[in-house]
Amino acid sequence: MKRPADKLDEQDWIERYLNDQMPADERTSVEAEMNADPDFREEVTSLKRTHEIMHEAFLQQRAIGRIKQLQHQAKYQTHRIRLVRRSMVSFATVCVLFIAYLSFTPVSFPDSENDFSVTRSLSDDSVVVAQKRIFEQFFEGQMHLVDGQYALAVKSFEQIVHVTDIRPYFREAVQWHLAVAYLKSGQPDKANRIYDQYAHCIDCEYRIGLVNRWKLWWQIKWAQWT
Amino acid sequence: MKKSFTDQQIVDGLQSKQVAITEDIVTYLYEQCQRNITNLVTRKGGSEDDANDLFQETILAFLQNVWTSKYQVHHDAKVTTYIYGIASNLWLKEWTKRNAVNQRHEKYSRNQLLNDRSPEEVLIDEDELRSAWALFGKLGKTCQDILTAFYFDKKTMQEIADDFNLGTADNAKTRKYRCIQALKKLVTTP
Repeated sequence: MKRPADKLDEQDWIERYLNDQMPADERTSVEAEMNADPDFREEVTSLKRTHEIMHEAFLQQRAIGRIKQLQHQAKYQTHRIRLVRRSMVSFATVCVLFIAYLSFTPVSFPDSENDFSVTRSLSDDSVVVAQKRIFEQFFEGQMHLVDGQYALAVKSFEQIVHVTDIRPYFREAVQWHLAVAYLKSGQPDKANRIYDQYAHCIDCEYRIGLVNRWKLWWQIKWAQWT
Repeated sequence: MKKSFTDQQIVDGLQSKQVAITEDIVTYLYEQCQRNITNLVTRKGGSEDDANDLFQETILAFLQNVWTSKYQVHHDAKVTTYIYGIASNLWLKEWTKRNAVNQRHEKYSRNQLLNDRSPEEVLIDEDELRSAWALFGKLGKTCQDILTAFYFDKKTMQEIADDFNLGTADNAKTRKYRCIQALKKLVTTP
């Protein structure tokens, strides 16, 4: 094939030469043309350089694409690590705060029924005095707890516990208060025994909220460990 | 599995100008150098995004220097040290530009940074950024895409005509011819 007259075809011809896509005799023709025409030689040289630049540009484009991909992955990974770290720190903080809440806030029980019918099956007139005495003893024990006189509180609650004919509601209320009094007076094992007896009771009448039960359990365990 | 390369393999691999090897080498260089370059930038008041941009520019400059044989393997200058040198140089320019307002501070810091640089870093030329990609980027977007489609993705003229709404294959061929002429002009213009 001879040198094409058309510029477009000539460019194709040179490109086939540069890309080694022509037979040997045709290559010889191109080289002969280069020797004969310095302008054509210049054209081939500059097209060769243009092709090199273009190929380098493609490679650089791919290199940048690869780097951006790696940087994006690294950024995503860093973001995930930060997120996990923050979540763990937040979770740990919440746990610490919750444990502190369980440890340092007092256990609070529901208000007791404000009546004197603490006992039952007592039908004569003398009951009024007995009922009043037990009722007062119960609130006296509560007062001792509030005042920090835990030994006296234990004493008051223990006296009521020994009364046989007492309504279950008040028995349970007294037992829970007694557990706290034991705990505060440095007898966590006794407190634990009461806790175990009443914590999982299904038909109990004096109902303690879950959080307060956790508080009492945690404070008993902590006292037993330390 | 992560590939690793010696300095000589890096240079030879890049000189071969094969896509797969170039990508592997770039990945390796990223793993080796990105952290140090990020530290360099963040220590001098830049952000992580600045560090990422700088790393891209640095690799472009490094590829260019390998292809033009400005960088050759020496026993006393590792590839990673050389790349770090390019990055310091480029960041110094960027940093100086950003701090141009405070002349006194700028002058002091320039001296500080220059004092920190090793001899091979100082030897790195000013025209690192005149890369092939920069030249190619001066072409219009359509020209870039047509040339990429033809020479890199090996598409036929008819496919290019269809993709770029050029009508016939002959139209695509004419367009490609013009694009090559434009690039040739950019390449030959000093």
